[in-house]
Amino acid sequence: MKTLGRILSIVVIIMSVSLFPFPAEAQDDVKYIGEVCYTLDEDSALSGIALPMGRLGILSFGPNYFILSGRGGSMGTAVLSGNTIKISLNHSADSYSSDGSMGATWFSAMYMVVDAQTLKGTHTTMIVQTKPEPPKISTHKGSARLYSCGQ
Amino acid sequence: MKMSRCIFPMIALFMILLLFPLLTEAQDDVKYLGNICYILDSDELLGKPPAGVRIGVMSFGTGRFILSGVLAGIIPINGSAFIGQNNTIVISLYYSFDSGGSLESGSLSSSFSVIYMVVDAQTLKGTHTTMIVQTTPEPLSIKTQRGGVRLFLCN
Repeated sequence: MKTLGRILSIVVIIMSVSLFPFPAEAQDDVKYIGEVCYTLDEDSALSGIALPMGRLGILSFGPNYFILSGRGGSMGTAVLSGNTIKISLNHSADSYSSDGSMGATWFSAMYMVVDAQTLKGTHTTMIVQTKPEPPKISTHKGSARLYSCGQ
Repeated sequence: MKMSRCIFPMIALFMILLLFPLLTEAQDDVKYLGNICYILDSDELLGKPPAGVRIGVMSFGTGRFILSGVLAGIIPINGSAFIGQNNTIVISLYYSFDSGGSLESGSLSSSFSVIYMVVDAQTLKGTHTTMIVQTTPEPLSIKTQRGGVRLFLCN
């Protein structure tokens, strides 16, 4: 009897949690619509240095809003606003040296604005490096380009 | 012994068959629930309208939610929420922004922000802690604001 009581309590809790939504009604399904790649600073004079680039999965949940989820743990949102696409993207990472000790830890916040037709624009990337000490924060601004990952 | 040899694979098969619908359901079950808005107490006291915050809520059926939307009509914002202890909703939000301008000329104003909110799931009222790191123009500034917040259905 006790066991039955426990099971019923658990069922009630699970149902409460799954039935508790934010105060909104279910609308559309979220759709995975594919991947987009980006590259940064193509026009900079960093010849010979690998350009920063990324690959983002896109989930659509409305005509103008998109969830971005990238390889390596980037996460963000894209908003189609008029003829521009605005993107916020966050990322954190660490690295280890060959002896297994921690090399560097950092997180970055990127704000990108690109033209919806040419897919070219600018990015501002703020990088907070917490190790090695002392911590430092740097800001980079440059060009950004989105493209189909198949290219 | 023979009996147990038969029973264990059967149990394993049974478990897999039981779990399979759950796994497939998890894939199909991401739902867009709609939009929520929020207003800070400090703004509400001043009679300011909500700063155009509109956040889409996605549920994947585990008491956890993905948040994605727009702030002030122009800034993409993302985060996540979960049902916390004592009937609370715990929210983390992130966004970054630049106002245009050039880094070289010092006219670039760029920042990133992190918002942590805990609100009561019934009243939708609670507190927020907002950390804003303005990286340019120099010198770097980090501000922390704490106050009340209220979630509500967007119009």
